[in-house]
Amino acid sequence: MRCRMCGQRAVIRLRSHNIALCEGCLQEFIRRRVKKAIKDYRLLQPGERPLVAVSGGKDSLSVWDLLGELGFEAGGLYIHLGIGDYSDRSEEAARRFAEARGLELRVERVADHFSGLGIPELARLDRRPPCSICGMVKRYLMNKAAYEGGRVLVTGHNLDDEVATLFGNVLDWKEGYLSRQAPRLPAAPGLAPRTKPLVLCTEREMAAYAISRGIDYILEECPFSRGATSLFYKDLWNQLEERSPGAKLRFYQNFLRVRHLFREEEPRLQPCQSCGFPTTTELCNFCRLRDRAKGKKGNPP
Amino acid sequence: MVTVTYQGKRYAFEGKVDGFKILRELGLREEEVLLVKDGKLLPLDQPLQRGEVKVIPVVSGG
Repeated sequence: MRCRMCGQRAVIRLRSHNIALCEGCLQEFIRRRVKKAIKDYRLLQPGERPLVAVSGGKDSLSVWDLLGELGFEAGGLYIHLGIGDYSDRSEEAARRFAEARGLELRVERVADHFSGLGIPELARLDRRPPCSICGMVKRYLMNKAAYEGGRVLVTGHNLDDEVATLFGNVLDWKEGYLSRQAPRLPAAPGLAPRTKPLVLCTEREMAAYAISRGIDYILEECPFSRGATSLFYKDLWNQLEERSPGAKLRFYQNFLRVRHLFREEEPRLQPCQSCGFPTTTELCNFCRLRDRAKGKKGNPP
Repeated sequence: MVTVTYQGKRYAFEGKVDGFKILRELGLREEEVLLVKDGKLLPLDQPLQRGEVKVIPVVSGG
């Protein structure tokens, strides 16, 4: 197996692109894919400063690495979720990455906002699945940090993530969600713009990029992700991809071409009476949960 | 002998083996994993007779 770009011994074949690549050309290939996504979908404008939400995993650390390679001055944000040792090990991976490259990493702790409680305790308190609480809390804290810092929020969602989400939304024809699934969501009052530069790169390509760049990412998965529907969808799509290489990319890119057909009335947003960030109710979910958590762990209200 | 580590378990392969055979024996799809030897990506078509290979799952999230 020879590298399509330079003729050296290839280390990986990418069937969806009908190519094999050596380590160096794989890195260049991924850089070009990310550059293409940024250009085609206008993910980052000149002068915009990215804030990368990092989890310590392959995708978020790689997108941070790639933005630096492409000349962006990107900072990082790690959110410590309070999920036992898993959160500590993830934070350690994010810190190691930032320190080795002299990058600025901001750390937010969920416990600091919720009277010492982490995601598992908040889920029990609110009688909701941990992933639901986690998503809401992360979205709030990521937006707040990016918005207040005048940054564009960057996440490490890859093609497989987007395809799994899209597939789930198509199964139920959730028109509102379909209309809002985009590589870049624009800024709005109280909302920072959000972008996903890895949407044209598969999960496997990103893992290969991370390994070839020597990025020391955390392989461990969140303990709450076991049995998640999105993992089932990813498994289905990997079966499909094996039979029909390029299926993921075609499904996602063709969706983007018809996305404008899906419309839903914009929710009427108003400033939260407590924090001022946009919400559909008087008090946003974050502030409501924060109030519920007050005094639960013996901490002062 | 080639020793393969996957999800905390070790598997031993005698004789000539390559990445495709390792995937077949473990029931894995090419899209789901990468093989790594000595910290480097291992091409699936490379014949091996000895050494340690790690199978790295690439699917993540929830």
